[in-house]
Amino acid sequence: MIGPDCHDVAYLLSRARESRLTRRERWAVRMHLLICVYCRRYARQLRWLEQALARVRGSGRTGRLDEEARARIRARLDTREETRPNPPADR
Amino acid sequence: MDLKPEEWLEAHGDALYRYALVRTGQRDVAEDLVQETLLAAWRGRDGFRAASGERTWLFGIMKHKIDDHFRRTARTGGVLPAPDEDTAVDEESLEFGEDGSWRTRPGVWGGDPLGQAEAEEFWQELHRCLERLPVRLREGFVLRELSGLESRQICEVLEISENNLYVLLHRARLRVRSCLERSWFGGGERP
Repeated sequence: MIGPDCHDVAYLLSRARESRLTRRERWAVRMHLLICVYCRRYARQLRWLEQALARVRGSGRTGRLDEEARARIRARLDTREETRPNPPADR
Repeated sequence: MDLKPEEWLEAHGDALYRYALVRTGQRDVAEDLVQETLLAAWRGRDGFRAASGERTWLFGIMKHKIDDHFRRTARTGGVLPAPDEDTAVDEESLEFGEDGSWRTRPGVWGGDPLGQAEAEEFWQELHRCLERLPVRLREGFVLRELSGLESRQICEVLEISENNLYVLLHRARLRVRSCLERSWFGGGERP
């Protein structure tokens, strides 16, 4: 790949989070970032977004089942044996 | 691989809940879906194949439960989520010009962006940005970033190829970035 544009580089920056880029791709991204302030910002923002989302995932406040719901679901699961509709015929 | 139903709620409950919450936007519905998913998994445990892994298997069930939920609400006069426009609109042409340069150039995010992520308001804003994504993009993004699945697992749940997933995540990240820049960081530079 010779001289990727911002569009290509943005895609590669995203894909790099999912799978390892080839040596050529990594080199092309690095060269582009040297000359492009906007893609450098984008790269930084993607990293930031990743860390921020990791904090959201780990935070106890939002996006988690609260204790009440958890207890309700646990209670329901504890009675699950009675709910099995079609026990296999061979048991 | 042995199934450990007694550990499902602790091990996967939050991740399943976040996925359901972002898809449906309703806490109580999302909670019910987690319960339905775990019960269905228990009933269907004979169909579990170790190859897919416990978490991938549970998310596959959750995805069907969410689809069922939307079908049910549609039957009772509810509103179905907007059809995916990502086949109709070229997402990326919104972000990039024909020459491949940025249409809306990433701006400088001031202050301490990571510190701000701790705020409750940030989560709400992120949620609003996710709601604006086409369903398919939202689904991939949430499974990856909020439920923390590996890309291989997401491909199995959504039944798509890895290349499809890369494109989908790339588009979702572009949109989430520009949405947060507009609504949270108050900026963005026009060429």
